Amino acid sequence: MLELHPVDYSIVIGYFVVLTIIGYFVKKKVHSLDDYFLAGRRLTLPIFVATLVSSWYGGLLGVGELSFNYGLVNWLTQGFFWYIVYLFFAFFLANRIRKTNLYTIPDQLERFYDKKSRFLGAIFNFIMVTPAAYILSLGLIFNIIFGMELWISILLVTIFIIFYTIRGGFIGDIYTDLIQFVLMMIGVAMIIPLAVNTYGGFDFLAANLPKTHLTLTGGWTTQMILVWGFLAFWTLADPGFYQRCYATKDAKMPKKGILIAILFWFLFDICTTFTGMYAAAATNAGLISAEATTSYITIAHSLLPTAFLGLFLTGLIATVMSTIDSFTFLGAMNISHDLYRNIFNPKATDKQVMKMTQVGIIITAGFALVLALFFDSIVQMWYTIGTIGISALIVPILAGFFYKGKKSSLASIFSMIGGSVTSLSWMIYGYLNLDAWGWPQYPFQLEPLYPGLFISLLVFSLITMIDTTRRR
Amino acid sequence: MDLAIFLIIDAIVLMGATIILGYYFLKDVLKKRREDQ
Repeated sequence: MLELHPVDYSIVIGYFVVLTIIGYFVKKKVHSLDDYFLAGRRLTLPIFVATLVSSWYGGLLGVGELSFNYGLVNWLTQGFFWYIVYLFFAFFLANRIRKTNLYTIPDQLERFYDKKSRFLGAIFNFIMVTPAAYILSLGLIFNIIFGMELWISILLVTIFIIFYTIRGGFIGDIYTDLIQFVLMMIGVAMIIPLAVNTYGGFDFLAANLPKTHLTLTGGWTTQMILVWGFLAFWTLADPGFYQRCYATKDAKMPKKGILIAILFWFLFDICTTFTGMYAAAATNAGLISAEATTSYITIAHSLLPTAFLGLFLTGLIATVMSTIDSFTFLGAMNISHDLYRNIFNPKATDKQVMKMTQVGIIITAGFALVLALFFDSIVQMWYTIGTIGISALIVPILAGFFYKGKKSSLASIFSMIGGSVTSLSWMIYGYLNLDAWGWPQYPFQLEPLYPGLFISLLVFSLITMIDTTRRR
Repeated sequence: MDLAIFLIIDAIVLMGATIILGYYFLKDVLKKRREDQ
């Protein structure tokens, strides 16, 4: 547990009080289902950028773990590859998505294919937005700040999220995202000048880090780098991106907003990568004693004066929190909008859908809680969920937007099943065959994402060919 | 460029960009309030 000054504790607790108040009072602004789901499709550019940047960036402790253990390769795999996919999204998808005036990715799948694709897509979507990795992150932060047992921290975090997300819906989400955006940017930015001032520049890092930390590849194999790079395709099937595009005021805004968001991510990623590297170097030099997962907190504790430390910790919490509330709400929308209203009860009233969303929030958070209690590595959980979700959804979504020929719903369904089952089986095989160091050994040394995507594409192409020929 | 200077500039630009975004947000809020009145 960290020894904090009462002022720092007050800042952290004050932040939770403000979130609770917003969550409580923002309900007055909800007048319709459109308000509850998409803030009435009235997002302006600054709000769009703030909510996209803050909700997207939740895996801060995972990023800390990677940059502490491997150095600059974190920027390459968690930054650079993602910027390329963000640019693709901005130029080729964002405005198209907004023009459809829908609510979710499964909505798009139904538009392209049929209701069965929506159903399956909703399930995979739900898996992707499960905020388990982020709840575990926040549990760890609580565990360090307040000294609670990890499982109690995780439980408390989950209960709090349910309470403040349930009332305000998406409006509550974006209002809190605004505050969280400012806190996370300032929190992370202020630590870098202090680290430079206290430890020094390049010479300090070069003297205290393994050489691989200062190379862009970090000593990783090309395959490992590409697999993490491929995870960036997550963006193309990310429900949060879609939801925020649907919620903007007009169709031109998403593209402009994403381009501005890339600038923020770029600046932010540099700060986070080097903070992790400074923590590793200072640990190797014997100046602090940090562990990979919680390295940000340890280095902040050693560098920042009272009040600033409280602000930094609040920024750290805000970064994770903004993603948890968004993901929890998206999971709930999968349950209420995609499954309940559009499949099981098409005659449901707006009021019933809103009620079901509140139930969905409890289900999503509960599911994440169970996962968070069983996994102990944030990065591992992130990787597993990402691999399965991407293998299932990317091909049918991209084909829906860009394939001009006749679309086959059978192809969409079987490519989702084929892709996810392949990557999951590959993963299970790897974990049943660990090497001497405890690393999974996959068939042909291939990471699960590749066979998953390959099978998904193959199945989609073959069935589309057969199905559309047969119908002709 | 020296790494230390690069990092400090990065942090300052990040804070500056956040403030500018906040400014435009408030401008929008005030504009909307005026229109509503």
